Amino acid sequence: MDDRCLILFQNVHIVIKSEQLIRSKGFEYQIIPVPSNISSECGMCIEISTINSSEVCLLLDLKQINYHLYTK
Amino acid sequence: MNLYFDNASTSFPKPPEVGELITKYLSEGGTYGRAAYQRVFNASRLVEETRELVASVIGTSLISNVLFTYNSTYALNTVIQGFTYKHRKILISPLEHNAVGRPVEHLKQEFGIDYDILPHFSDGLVDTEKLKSIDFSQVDLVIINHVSNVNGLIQPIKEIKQAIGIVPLLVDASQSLGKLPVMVDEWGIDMLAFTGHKGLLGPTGIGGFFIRKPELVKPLVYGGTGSNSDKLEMPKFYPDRFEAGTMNILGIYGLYGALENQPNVIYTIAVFREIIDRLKTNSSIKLLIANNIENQSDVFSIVPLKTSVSNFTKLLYDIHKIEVRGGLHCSPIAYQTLGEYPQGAVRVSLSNYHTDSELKHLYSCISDIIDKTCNG
Repeated sequence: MDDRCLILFQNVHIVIKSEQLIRSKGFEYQIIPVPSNISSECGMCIEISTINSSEVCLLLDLKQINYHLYTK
Repeated sequence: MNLYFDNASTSFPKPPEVGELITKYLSEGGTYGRAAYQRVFNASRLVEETRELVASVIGTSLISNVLFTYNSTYALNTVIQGFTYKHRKILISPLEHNAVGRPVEHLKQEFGIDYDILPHFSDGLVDTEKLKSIDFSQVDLVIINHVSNVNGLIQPIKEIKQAIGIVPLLVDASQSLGKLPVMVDEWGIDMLAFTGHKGLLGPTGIGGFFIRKPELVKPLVYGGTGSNSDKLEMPKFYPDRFEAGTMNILGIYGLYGALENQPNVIYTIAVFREIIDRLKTNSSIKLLIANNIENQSDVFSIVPLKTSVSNFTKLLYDIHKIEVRGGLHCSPIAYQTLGEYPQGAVRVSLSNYHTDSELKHLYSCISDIIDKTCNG
């Protein structure tokens, strides 16, 4: 699992919007609960392969989506 | 034959997909956010897809600024009660529903925030020429009912916004959305309230509003949002800020089914206008319509001159099974404007599903009741 990283978002609205983008570009991803050691948040975040993180971040940046990349 | 002509109250019938989507949600479940398992994700995704569809229908690219509430009344109250009134002055259209009338009257009685009615013509059409003589620098908010639920008059939203300049404009699109084009971005609308169960043909219990600058309004309801949960303050970001508590996901599924399956208008405008023309010349009734037919939507009202509103409404149903609504339609301001307060009128409101033959049948039934009440 060390080759995975997490993308955290402000709210569900942005998670769904980002998931739509990531899915449309064919990246492998998984929706998982936000780990409690990262945040007290009770929602969802997106787990991706670290190898894709630069491309995924670029995709989100282009759409002006705010996120926080958490590398394990 | 569809004898239901009370679509301004709530639309009927609905596209079959409304029921199908509601059933799908009941069988699949899931809430909005708060967890990350598939059932929740699927429900959350459909909520967001519905938000996108609504944004598209109202003509805005600001999808996050579309907020869900339970209906227009909730939406209008959120904006009207949550707004900051620096000049303590609101201007409203002359055809407002109580969903606006009562909150502004509440603000007047509780906080001394004054409201006035905009200059207008005899049918309630806002006089945009006369708006030019108003000093809007002392006005906090302008509220316009896009389409009257009494005489069906369509207000010129774009022209009104041009005339009032930077003063925030709140549009009540309860009767217009799904029936007429609404272009929030192009017309410069600042805030717009909508409901799902009228022109959009969705279920009751779901509505919402668009707000261009969410910082202008405080939330009406405070509570859990599934975000910033470690803090007692409401999140500053939206839609969360205005969507505390579990939303009506069942209603949103139904609304999604409606938005994806909007029917074209089946009846022809020529037939509708011919009926209006014929009724207009009948001396036993007074018709509440727009002065200019180009400003007329598919709602109009009849004031019977030879019998009471309630008797006319009852006879239409008892004899012909025509379902219409008599009374004041929660719009005393509109009826005062039109000179028919407090007796009200008999309102007819169409569905896009109505056919020409159903409209012709309606006309013959109305004519029959006019004859019966004239001849004793």
